[in-house]
Amino acid sequence: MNPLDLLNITNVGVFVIFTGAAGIILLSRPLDKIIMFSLLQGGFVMVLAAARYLDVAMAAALFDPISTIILLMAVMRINDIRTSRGEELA
Amino acid sequence: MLETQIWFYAGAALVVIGSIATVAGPGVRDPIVRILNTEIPAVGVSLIFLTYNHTLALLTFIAATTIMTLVLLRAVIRLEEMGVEL
Repeated sequence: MNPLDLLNITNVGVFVIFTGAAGIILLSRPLDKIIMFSLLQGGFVMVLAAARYLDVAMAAALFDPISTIILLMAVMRINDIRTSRGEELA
Repeated sequence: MLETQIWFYAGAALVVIGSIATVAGPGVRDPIVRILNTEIPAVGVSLIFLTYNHTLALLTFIAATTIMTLVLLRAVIRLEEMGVEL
């Protein structure tokens, strides 16, 4: 069996998903976590495309940047509130 | 078929790992970290929906996860503005 057969869209997508999940859990700063969350969603869109649900992949690709932008705005707001109170962002 | 098994077991592993990380992960006292960890089991449940070909449930769940994140973060920002000890 050719070992390059393991490099299909499903396996690569699951690998990217697990990389993003490990990054979200283990990294400490919120901006790093949001970047790894984008990686997780990219892997999920890849797995959806491997399942040939292209309409669901389109909906996921539309909703994921909205979620990322909401998280970024929330992190910026909370950072402003905590620095105005003299605390560090954890 | 191998691909279906990979989706199902990856989804189940993501649900278990993400739930444990949400409850007792590193730095989970911060509410943003907890909300971000909640997204991992959401992707795991979506993979399980994908295994059983529940297309409509998958679409609704993706949209509902985004709206749920919006509502939770609004609540957290409001509580931080009021100075509540979270």
